[in-house]
Amino acid sequence: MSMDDHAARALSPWLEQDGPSQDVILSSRARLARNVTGMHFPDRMSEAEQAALVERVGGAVGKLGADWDYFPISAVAPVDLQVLMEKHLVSPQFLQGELQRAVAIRRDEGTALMVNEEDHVRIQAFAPGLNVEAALNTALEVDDGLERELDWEVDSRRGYLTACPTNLGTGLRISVMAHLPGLVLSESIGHLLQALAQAGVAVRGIYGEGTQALGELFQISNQVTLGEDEQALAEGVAQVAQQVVEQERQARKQLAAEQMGRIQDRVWRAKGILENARLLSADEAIAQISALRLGVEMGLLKSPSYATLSALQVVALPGFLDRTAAQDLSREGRFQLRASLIRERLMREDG
Amino acid sequence: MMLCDDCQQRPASVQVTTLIGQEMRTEHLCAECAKERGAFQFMGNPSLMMHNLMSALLGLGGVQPTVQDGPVCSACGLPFHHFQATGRLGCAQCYQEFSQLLDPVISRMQSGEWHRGKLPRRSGSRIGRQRELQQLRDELGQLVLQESYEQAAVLRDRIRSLESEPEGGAPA
Repeated sequence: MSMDDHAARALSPWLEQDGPSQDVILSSRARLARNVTGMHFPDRMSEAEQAALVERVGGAVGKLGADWDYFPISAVAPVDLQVLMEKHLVSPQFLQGELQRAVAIRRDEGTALMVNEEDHVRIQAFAPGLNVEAALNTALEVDDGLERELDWEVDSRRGYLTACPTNLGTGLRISVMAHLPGLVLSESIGHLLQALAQAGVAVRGIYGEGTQALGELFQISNQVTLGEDEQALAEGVAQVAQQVVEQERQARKQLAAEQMGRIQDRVWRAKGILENARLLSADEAIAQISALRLGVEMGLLKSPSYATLSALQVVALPGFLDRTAAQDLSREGRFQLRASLIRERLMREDG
Repeated sequence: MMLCDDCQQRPASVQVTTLIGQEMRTEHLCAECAKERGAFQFMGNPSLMMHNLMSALLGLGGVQPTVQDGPVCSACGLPFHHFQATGRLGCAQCYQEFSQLLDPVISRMQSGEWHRGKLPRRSGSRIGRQRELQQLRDELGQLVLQESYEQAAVLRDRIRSLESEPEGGAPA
C-alpha cells in the first residue's frame, strides 16, 4: 500500500468498528520504546548510524508480514507526514529535526512504528473504545516479531533502556482518549483532573490544555514504566479509565435530568452548523463535532456513526485539507474546504 | 495582607525569585500578574511534564545552574549537563556512567527499581536468570540484617542451585 493511500483516507480502517464504552472512550493505545544494541541513542547518532538503523529496521519490518509497508521519510512529502500525525500514526516530535527517519504502517493502520524518534524504535498499536489489553497485545506481538531480527538494549535490573529514564523498564505508555463533555459542562472536570493526578496517571487535553481543552477530548496515560509488568500497567490505566467512564455517564445523566433543553439546543445547533456552514475554522469545527458526538453518545441523534465522527475529526485539520486540495491553502480556502468536506461526509451518511 | 507588587490591587499569592547576575530579587505577585509575566509554566504535554518532574527531582533545570564540568559518558561523549537540558541520554552506557546521579531520580520517579515485565526471548532467559539471582541476593541481605537465619539459609541454597545451573538452555 502506498503512502498516498494512507494519507488520502481520513478514517483509519481500525476505527470503522466500535469498541467497549465507545460512548466515552474513543480509542486505546499502547506504545513501546525500544533501542538496538551497540548504537548510540538517536540524539547522539552519526548520519551513518541513522542510515544504517533505517535500513536494519526496514529489513525487520519486511519480515513482519505482507500487510506492513515501510517508508523512509526522505521519500515522503511533508504534507503526508502531517496527515499521519493528525491521524496519530506518528508523533508531532517525529516531524521535527533533521534525523534520518522512517515510519512503518500496517494496512489497517491499527499499528505503526517510528524509527529514530526519541528512541530507535517506537511501536504503537490502537484499539477502538476502552480496550487497552487489545492494544497492548498487538504492540507486544509486533515487538516479538521485531526482536527476531533486532537485538534490543536490555538490562537485568532496569529492563529496556530508553533515551529518557521516564520510559525505562517496560518502555510502555498506555493511553486512552476520553470524550468528557458531561464533566466539562457540569464543571466537575477540574476535580477529576486533580484526582487523576493523584492516582498516578497523566492527563492532557488533545487540543489545548487543562480544563479549557477544546473538543472536550482528554488523553489519560500511565506515568510509571518501571517496577510493574506490562499487564499491570495496562490494567491500572483501564481501571482509572473505567471510573472516568462511570463519572462521565453520571454527569450526562444529571445534565439530562436538569438541563435537557440546554443539551438539546447544543446538539441540534451543532448539527445545523456542521450540515450548513460554508466557512468553518478548525476551532469551531472541533467544538461542534464534539457537541454532535455528545448527541450520538446520549442517544439524542441516531447518526452519524462513531466512525464518521472520527473521520470528521481528521477532516477538520489543516494537513488533511492541504493534502486534499493538493496545495497550501489560504486561511479562507481552508475554512471553505473544511466546511464543504464535513457537509459532504454528513450528507453521505444521511443519504 | 500583602498586595501584589505589580498591580497593587489583588492580594499577593506567589513569591517569584529572579536571579539577575549576582543579584537576587524577590517579588510578591498575584496569580494573574505572575501568569502574565510567564512566571508559571503550565504543563500539559506528558513528556514535557515528566521532563520537568525529572528536572525538579534532579534539583536542576529552570533557574538552578547546570554543572558545566560535570561527568561525561566515556562511551558516547555526552556531558551530563546535556542530559539535564534535554532529558535524553546518549547511549545505553550512560545509565552506568551516570548511575550515581540517575539512580536516585529513577527510583523516585518510577514505582520500583526492578524491571518486572517482558524480556526479549533471545537474550531474555540469561537476563531473566541474572535478574532473579540479583533479586534473591538482595532478599538474602535483608534476611541476614533481620537475623532471620533459617529463611536466609533456604534462600542461600536456592541461589547456589541457580548459580550451578548451566548457562544457556534458552528456547530457540
